[in-house]
Amino acid sequence: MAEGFNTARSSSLLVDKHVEYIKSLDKRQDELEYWMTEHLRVSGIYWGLVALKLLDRDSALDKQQVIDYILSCQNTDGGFGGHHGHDSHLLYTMSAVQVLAMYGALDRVDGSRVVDYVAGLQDAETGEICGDEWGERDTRFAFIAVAILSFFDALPRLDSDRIVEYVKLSMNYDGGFGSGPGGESHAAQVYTCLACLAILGRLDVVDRERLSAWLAERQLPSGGFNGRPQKLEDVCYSWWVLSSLRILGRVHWADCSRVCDFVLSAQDPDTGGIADRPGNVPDVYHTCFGIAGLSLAGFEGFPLKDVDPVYCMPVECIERIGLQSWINNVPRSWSQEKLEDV
Amino acid sequence: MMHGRRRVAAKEPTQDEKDEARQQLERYCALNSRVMGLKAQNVFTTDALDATRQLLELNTELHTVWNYRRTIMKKLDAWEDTEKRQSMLEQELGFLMKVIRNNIKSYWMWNHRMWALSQLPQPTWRGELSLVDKLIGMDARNYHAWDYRRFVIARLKDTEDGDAVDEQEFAFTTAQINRDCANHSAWHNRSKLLPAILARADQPRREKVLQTENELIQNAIYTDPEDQNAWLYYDWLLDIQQSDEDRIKLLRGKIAAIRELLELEEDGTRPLIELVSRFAELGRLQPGSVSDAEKEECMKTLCTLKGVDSYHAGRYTDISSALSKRWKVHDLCV
Amino acid sequence: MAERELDGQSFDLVVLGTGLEEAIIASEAAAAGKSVLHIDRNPYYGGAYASFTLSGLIEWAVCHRDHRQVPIVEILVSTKAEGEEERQQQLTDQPTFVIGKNSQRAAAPNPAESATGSRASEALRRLAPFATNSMCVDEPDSAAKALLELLQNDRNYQIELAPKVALCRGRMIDLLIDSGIGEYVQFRGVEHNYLVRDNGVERVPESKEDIFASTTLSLIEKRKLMRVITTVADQEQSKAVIEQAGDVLFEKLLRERFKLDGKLLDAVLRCVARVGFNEHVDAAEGCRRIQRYVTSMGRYGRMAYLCGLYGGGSEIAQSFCRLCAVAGSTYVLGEKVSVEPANDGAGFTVSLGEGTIKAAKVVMDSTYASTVTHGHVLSRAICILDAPVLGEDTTALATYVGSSGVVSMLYVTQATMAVPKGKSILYAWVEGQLLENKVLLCHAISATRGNASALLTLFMETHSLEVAGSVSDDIIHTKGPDATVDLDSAVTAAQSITELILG
Repeated sequence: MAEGFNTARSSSLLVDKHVEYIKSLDKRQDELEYWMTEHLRVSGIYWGLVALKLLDRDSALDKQQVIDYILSCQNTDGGFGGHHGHDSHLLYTMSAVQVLAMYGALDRVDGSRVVDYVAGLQDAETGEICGDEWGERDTRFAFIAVAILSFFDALPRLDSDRIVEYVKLSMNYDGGFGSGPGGESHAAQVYTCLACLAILGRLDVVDRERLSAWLAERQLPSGGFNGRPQKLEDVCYSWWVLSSLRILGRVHWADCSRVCDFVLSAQDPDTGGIADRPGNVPDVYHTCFGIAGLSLAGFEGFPLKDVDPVYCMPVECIERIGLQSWINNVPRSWSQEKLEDV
Repeated sequence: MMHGRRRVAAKEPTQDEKDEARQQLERYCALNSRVMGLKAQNVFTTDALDATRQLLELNTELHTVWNYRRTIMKKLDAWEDTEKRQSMLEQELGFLMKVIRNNIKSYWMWNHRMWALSQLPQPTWRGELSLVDKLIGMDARNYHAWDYRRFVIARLKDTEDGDAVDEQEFAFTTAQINRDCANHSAWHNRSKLLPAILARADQPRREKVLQTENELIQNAIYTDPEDQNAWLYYDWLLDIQQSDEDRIKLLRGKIAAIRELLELEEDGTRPLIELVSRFAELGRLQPGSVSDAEKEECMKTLCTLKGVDSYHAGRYTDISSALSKRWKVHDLCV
Repeated sequence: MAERELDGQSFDLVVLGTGLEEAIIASEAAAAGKSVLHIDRNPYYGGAYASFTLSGLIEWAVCHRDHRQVPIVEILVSTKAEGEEERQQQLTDQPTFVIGKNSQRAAAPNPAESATGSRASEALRRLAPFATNSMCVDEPDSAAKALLELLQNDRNYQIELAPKVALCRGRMIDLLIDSGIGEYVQFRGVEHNYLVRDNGVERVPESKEDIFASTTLSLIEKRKLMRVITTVADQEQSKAVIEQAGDVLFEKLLRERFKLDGKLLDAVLRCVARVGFNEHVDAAEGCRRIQRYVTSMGRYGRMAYLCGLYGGGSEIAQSFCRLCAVAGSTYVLGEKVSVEPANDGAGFTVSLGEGTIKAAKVVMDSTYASTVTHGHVLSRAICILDAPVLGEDTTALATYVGSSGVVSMLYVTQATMAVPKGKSILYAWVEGQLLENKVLLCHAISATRGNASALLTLFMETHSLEVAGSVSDDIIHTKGPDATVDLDSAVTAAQSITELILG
C-alpha cells in the first residue's frame, strides 16, 4: 500500500464521511473525472441515492432538483439518456426510473411513453431485449426491461415466456449465467438473470444447489467476492453475489461477517467513499454496492435500511410503490430449505 | 466506476501540473461540447466524424458519441459505394484497434466493432479470429475477448464448414486448458461446443469423445482438487450422459477417484464435500445403493467439514439437514 | 600492457587469476574505490572457468593447465574406417590421447609459427605426442582425420571448463543487475530439466501446466507432484510441514509425507532440489532449494535457470573484468608472477616481468600458491555430439540417476553461440576421481545422447586446491568451481572475500 495516507483499517462504517463524499460529487467541476463521467450522471445519482437512502441520509440531496434533472434527461423516444443531450439507453432509463421510484415521483413521468420505449426493445423474433435502438443484447437488459415494466404494472407488454427461454439459454454447466446464450458465468450476470426470473416468478428454471455452491465459492480468504473463478475480489461483488444468494435464500452460505470486514476495509478514511479494493480510489458505484452489500450481509455496526435484493433499492421504497419486496417473497419451498437435490 | 486505481499520497501539485491539468480539462470539455453541439444540429460531415474520433480516443464510454459516429457514417456518400464503404469500415477497424489499447473492457467499443464488421461488404472473419487469438494470448480470461470470439465464430460458421469450425474451436479450448487447466473461460466454451460434437458423433465416436473428456477433467481434478470449477464440469459430464446406468457407472468412478485423493491428503476439504455430494447423487439415482456405513460416513464428514471449513458452515449445515431427512439418519451438525 | 610503468607502484589490492570469483572480487573492490591490479599468468581470461575454441581447449590441455588442478586429461576421438559402417564406439574405449600428470608441459605456441600453419594442424601437432597409438601428423590416420574435420568449425566452439548456469532468482542474476553488467551479458533460458535413467530420458514436469499436460505421469503421480509444488514451494506451508516433520532428511520427508518414490522422488530430489548422491540434506534445506527453484520460474519466462551465451561463466568473468577496468583498474595478462611478503612486513611485494609492485592485500586463485593440498575432486566429461539430442531444446539441464551415483549434465546447442550448427555438447560431471567415475560418466552420456554419436569426448579430473594454514588475512585464496550447477556458490564465496577485504 502506498505510504503517506491513512491506511488504518476501519472497523466502523464511516457514515458521515460517505455522505460528505456523495454530496461532494456534484462539486468537482475542476476535475477531469467529473466531465469524463458526465454521460452516466443519471446512474451516478441512482448509486448515490441508494447509498444515502440505506444510510437514512437522503436529505443530503435536494430532492426537487434531482427529480427535475432526471426528468430533463428523458428523450422524445420515451427512454432516458445518461445526461442532457445523450441518447436513450435501457441502463439510464432504469436508473432514472429507480431514482423517481425512490422519491415516490413515478407519477411525474409519462409512464406510457417509458413503457412503449422499453417494450419496443424486445426483438419480436428472438424475444431478446436490446439495450437501445442499435441492438446490443445482454441478459442485463432482459432484467432491466422486466424491472422497469414491473414499476409501471405493465409486464404483459413483454413476451415473458421468450425472455425466460432466453435466460435459460444463457445458463451454464456451473449453474451460473452469462451475458447471453454461450456467455461465461459471471456473478453480475447471475444477479440480473436471477432478478429477472424472480420478477417473472420463474425461478424454477434455476439449478439452485449448483448455483448456490458456485456463488458461495466466489468468496475469497479476504472476505471479499470475485465475479468469476481465479479473479480478484471486488467490493461490487459483495452486492452481485450476496443479492444472488439472497434471491436463492442462501445468504448464510457466505461468511457475512467477513464480507463486512472486507467492505469496511475498502473505505477511504480521508475522503469518504468506498473503493473496489482496500487502498484504491473510491467511487460512487462501489460506495453504493458496498453499502448495499453490508445491508444484505446484516451488518450490525449501523442501522442500515433493508435493501431489496432484486431491485437494489430500499425495501420500504419497493413496498411504498405497491410492489412486493423479494425479502418477503421467497418461494415457500425454498424458505423451508427442502433440498430436492444436494 | 473505477477499478484498480491506487490511492496515492496527497501531494500538492506544482503550478505546472495544475496548468497542465486545467488545459487538459478545457480541451476535453471543448471537444465534448463541440461534438454534442454538432450532433444537436444534425451535422453529418467528415469533419464531424473526425471530431467524434478525437473525442472517443479520450473517452471510450460515450455511447451517444459512438451512436452519432455510426449515424454519420451511414449518411456519408461513401457509404453507398461498396468499395468506399469497405475501405471506410476497414479504417474504422484500425481506429478501434487503437481504442482497444485504451480500454479493452469497453462494452461500447466492442459493440461498435461488431456493428462495423456486420456492415462490411466483405467482412474478414478469419482476421478477426486472429485478433481474438492475440487478445486471449495476452489475457486468457478476458471476458470481452471470449464473448467476441463466440460472435466471430458464429459468423464464421455461416461462411465456412460449421462442423469443422466447431472442431477447431474445440481444439483451441484444449490448447488453452493445457496452458492453464484453471482457465474457466476455456472450459466454459468447451461445454458449449461439446454437445454439438456429441450430437454429430456415431456411438463409438461418442464414447471415445466422452472418454477423452472424462480423462481430461480427471487430469484437472488431480492437478488441482481445490478447483471447484473442475468438479462442476465433472458433474456436468454426468448430466450429459445418455442413461442413468452410465451415470451410475461414472459416479462410482468418481467416488473411487475421490477415495484415492483422500488417501493422499486426508485434510483436503474439497474432496470431502465432493464425496458427500457424490453419495447423495448416487442415492438419488439408485435408491438403496448407498450403504448405512456410507451414509454415516457422509454425516460425519459434514460435521468435520463444518469444523475445519467454517467459511462454508452454512452450506454444510443445510446439506446435513437435508440428507438426514432424506436418509432418515441423525443430523450430526445440529 | 606496459609493466615498466607499473614498476614501483602500490595498489590496495592485487588479484591473481581472472576466474569468476577473482573477477567479482576485483570489480567490487574497484567499485568501492580501491586501486586494483589484476593479473593472469595465462594469455586468456577465466581461469578455471575459462572457455575455449576446440583448438584452444587442446592448447589449454597441453600447454596451460595447472597439473595440480587438472592432473589427467583424456580425449577420445570417434573414428570412421573407410568403407565401413560407422563403428559403434564405446565411450569407455581406450582414449585416443592421454595427457597425464607426467606428460611434458609443452611450450606455448610461437605466434609466428601458428600464423603460418592452420590452427587445426597446429592443434594436431600439439596433441600427437600424447596419442596412445602412435600418430603421424603428416599422414593422418582415421583419428587424426576425424579431429581435423571437427577442427574445421573450430571457431564456432566455446567449450567451458566448468559449465554452470544462473538461477533466475539467484545471487548471480542479482549481482549482474546491481552491477549493470546484466545489460550486456546475454542469456538464454534453460528450457527443460531432464531426469535421465538407464531406461530413458524424461522431462521433469516443473509447473502446474507441465503436470497437467504430462502424458507420462499417472493421475496419482500428478497429484503427488502438485502437492510438492503447492506445499513445499510455499514458504508458509512448508514451514508448517517442516515443524511437523521435525529433524528429518529431505529424502525421508519426500518419501513419507509426500509419498514419493521411483522417478518422482528422483525428479524432485535430484533434478529440482539437486541433492547429490552422498549428500545429506535436511528437510528445511530441501524445501528452501525447491522454493528457490520454483520462485526462479517465471522471472524470465517459465525457466528456472539461464545459460550464458558465448561461453557462460567465462564470458561473465570477462564482463566483471571489463567493469573493473572501467573503474580504473589495471590489467596484465600472460605474465609470470610471484608474491612475497614485503620486507618491511607491511603488505606484499608482487613481482612480474621486470617490475615490482607493492600490494596492501592480495587475492589469488589457489593455483598461484606454491604449496597446496588437494580438496574436492571432480570428474568431468565434455562430449561433442554429431546432432542435437533433446528434441527442440536449445539448452537443458539433465541429471543422470544411476545405481552407483548421480551425474549433473548441461546440454547446449548452437543457440548458445558456443556450438557449431547441427552439433551439440553435453557436459557431465560428478564428484570423485576419474578412475572410479569414468564409467558412471559414460553411462550418463550414453543414456542421454540417444542415437547421436559422440564425435569427441574429453574426460578430466579436477581438484580444488587449498592452501594450508592461511598466512594472513591480507592474502586470501579462492577455491575455484565446485560441483553445483549454478553460479551462486561462486558469488557467495567472492562476496564473503570482498567483505573481508573491504572490512
